Amino acid sequence: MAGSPIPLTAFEDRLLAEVPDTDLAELLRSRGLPGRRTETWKWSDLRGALRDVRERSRVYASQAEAPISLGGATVLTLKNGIPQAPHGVEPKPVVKGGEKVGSTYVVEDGLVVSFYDHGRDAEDETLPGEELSALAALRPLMSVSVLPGFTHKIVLRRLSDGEGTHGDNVFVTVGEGARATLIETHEITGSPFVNSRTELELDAKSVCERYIVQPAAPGAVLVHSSVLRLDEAKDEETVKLKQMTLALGAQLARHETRLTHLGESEAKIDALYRLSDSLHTDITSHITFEGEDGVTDQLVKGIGDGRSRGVFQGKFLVQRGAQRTDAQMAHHALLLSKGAQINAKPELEIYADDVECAHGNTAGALDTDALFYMRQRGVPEDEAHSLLIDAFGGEVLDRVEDETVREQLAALFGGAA
Amino acid sequence: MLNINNLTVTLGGNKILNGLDLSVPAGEVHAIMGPNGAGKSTLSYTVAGREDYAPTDGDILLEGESILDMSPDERAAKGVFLSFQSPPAIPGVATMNFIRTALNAQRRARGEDEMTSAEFLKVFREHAKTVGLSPEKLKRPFNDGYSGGEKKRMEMLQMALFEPRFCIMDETDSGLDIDALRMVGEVVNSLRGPDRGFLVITHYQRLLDYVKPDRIHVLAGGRIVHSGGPELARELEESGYEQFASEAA
Ligand SMILES: Nc1ncnc2c1ncn2[C@@H]1O[C@H](COP(=O)(O)OP(=O)(O)O)[C@@H](O)[C@H]1O
Ligand SMILES: [Mg+2]
Repeated sequence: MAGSPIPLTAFEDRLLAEVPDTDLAELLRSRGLPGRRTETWKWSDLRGALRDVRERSRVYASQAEAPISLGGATVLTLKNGIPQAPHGVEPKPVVKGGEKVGSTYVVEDGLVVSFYDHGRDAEDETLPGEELSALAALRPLMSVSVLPGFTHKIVLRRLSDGEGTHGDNVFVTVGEGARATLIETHEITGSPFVNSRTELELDAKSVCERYIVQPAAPGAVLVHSSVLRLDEAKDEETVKLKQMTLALGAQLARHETRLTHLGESEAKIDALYRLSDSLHTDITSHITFEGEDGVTDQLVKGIGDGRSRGVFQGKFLVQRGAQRTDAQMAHHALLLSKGAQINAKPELEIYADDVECAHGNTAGALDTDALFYMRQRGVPEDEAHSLLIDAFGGEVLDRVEDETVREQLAALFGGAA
Repeated sequence: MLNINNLTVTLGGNKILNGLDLSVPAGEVHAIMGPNGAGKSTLSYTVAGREDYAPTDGDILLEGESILDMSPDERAAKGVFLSFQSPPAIPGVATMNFIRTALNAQRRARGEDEMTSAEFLKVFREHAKTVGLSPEKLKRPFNDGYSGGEKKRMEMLQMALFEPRFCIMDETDSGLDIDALRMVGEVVNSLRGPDRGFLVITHYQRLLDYVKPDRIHVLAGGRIVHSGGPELARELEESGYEQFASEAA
């Protein structure tokens, strides 16, 4: 590893004691956690936010009311990173080389959940900039499989409390021709550091709606890395993913999505964030087009008030040979106060010639002409603000097909003023 | 009904209105004419309460009460209505929802009962028909994709619906064809009555053929420099504002 080691923070020292001696450990030792001086984290100073020692989180002891529900869904829960056994289902042991390595539950017909005592070998995942994802991959693994041809709705609640640190490692597969609606929540009270990871594999002909819902957590530090793979088309049927993140801020929160189009497949990678006070949200995505005919349509919108900070980093990487890629990225931010800050970096890196790629990025204040007009018609200032803000966020929410989900997201968004 | 005394408004370091006096008694329609940039729209914004057009001197009284300390929405609830020269589009805000929100906010502020959606829908449809806006158009977000003429129709729809006490119409006639002009005349004439006042800003005689004004004022150099009867409009159209502009200097 190049470069001379830097003085590690107390937290990093502590962290390293638990990381196996691999490339990842070496990377952490030489560079520390990503922060201000790391190009891809320069607006989200994780290192700075995590200087002090944190103990491992204790047993989750809070009560939380789910911010969103989904009729007919299987609810799976992680408490401070620890997967909770599904109710009323007997586990079967998972045996490997004569040794029990985990338990598996057939929760419903075509829906299998397994817990493994150990994470996956992270050694081959220490790509630069993915340290947090690789670290989370060391956690005990929870896998969720929607078997081929089945349709399932799943709500995955991540409950966190205290002021310690924990992580989780979830692997979801949607089998060939299967349909899944997956809602993932981050329900955080207190001030923990949560390093969370979802790996999502969409097999041929599968369709997935995915929602990530993170209510405001003013004391918490959260990194949620998602690693997504979309299989290529089969029998002229493409994989379809619609992802929507609603992020309402934390002391520091980063929602990072790394998606690979293996071939012809369609993705929406939308996000909506709304921040007040000194909340922070970072929406980072890195979409790789490996095969031909990949389509990504991305709309991210954000609202900043108080002294908050919103970050959007979007990258499309179109590899050589990924012809007929169609990739659209838009980020629009609305600033409600002088103290609010938005940093945005849209990036295109294209190595194929027959592609359609575009990005747009704007930041502005509420339209004062529209505001005065509304008030001239008798609408009080606060109400006029809400109407304009709801209209701004509505453009993203309108892309959510499921009406009950859309309404719940809209209510969470509206309530985040 | 509306009394404006010594109104002085400074924008970007320039005195746009400079001691303007104007009185419109209840039941009357007054027209304001004047060269481009004279401050006609400024006057309308100041009366409506736009914050960055607040006067540095003078007063505006509505039925004897100063409205200067009132917010734009409070003034609207008191019955001040401005038909905008260039109404904005409000993307993402549904037209009927917005207008109903506005109407009920005014009613709330006046201590009146809110309109139910059924009541609202009924009057809304009536007025939409009068001003010639199709239900298809009205399904769009507010003024979204509307032509200049359609936006003016939308202004008249709201004026008819809100039944304001005092209406300021800022170049509502500009860019309208004859049919639309007639419609504007109809809306104004149907609202005209002993308790209501109008201030009609225009460049053209033709609107005044439909809406007979009681008085015509010439605004130049930041104040009313000349006032006269309805015949003044034709005179101005023929000889221009030049003679009065020099009076102002
Ligand atoms: N917000 C503003 N800031 C600075 N100057 C303005 C502003 N609004 C209008 N003005 C200036 O005030 C003058 C009068 O404008 P306006 O009231 O629109 O005139 P009219 O409606 O009579 O054509 C113009 O010189 C215009 O440039
Ligand atoms: Mg004007």
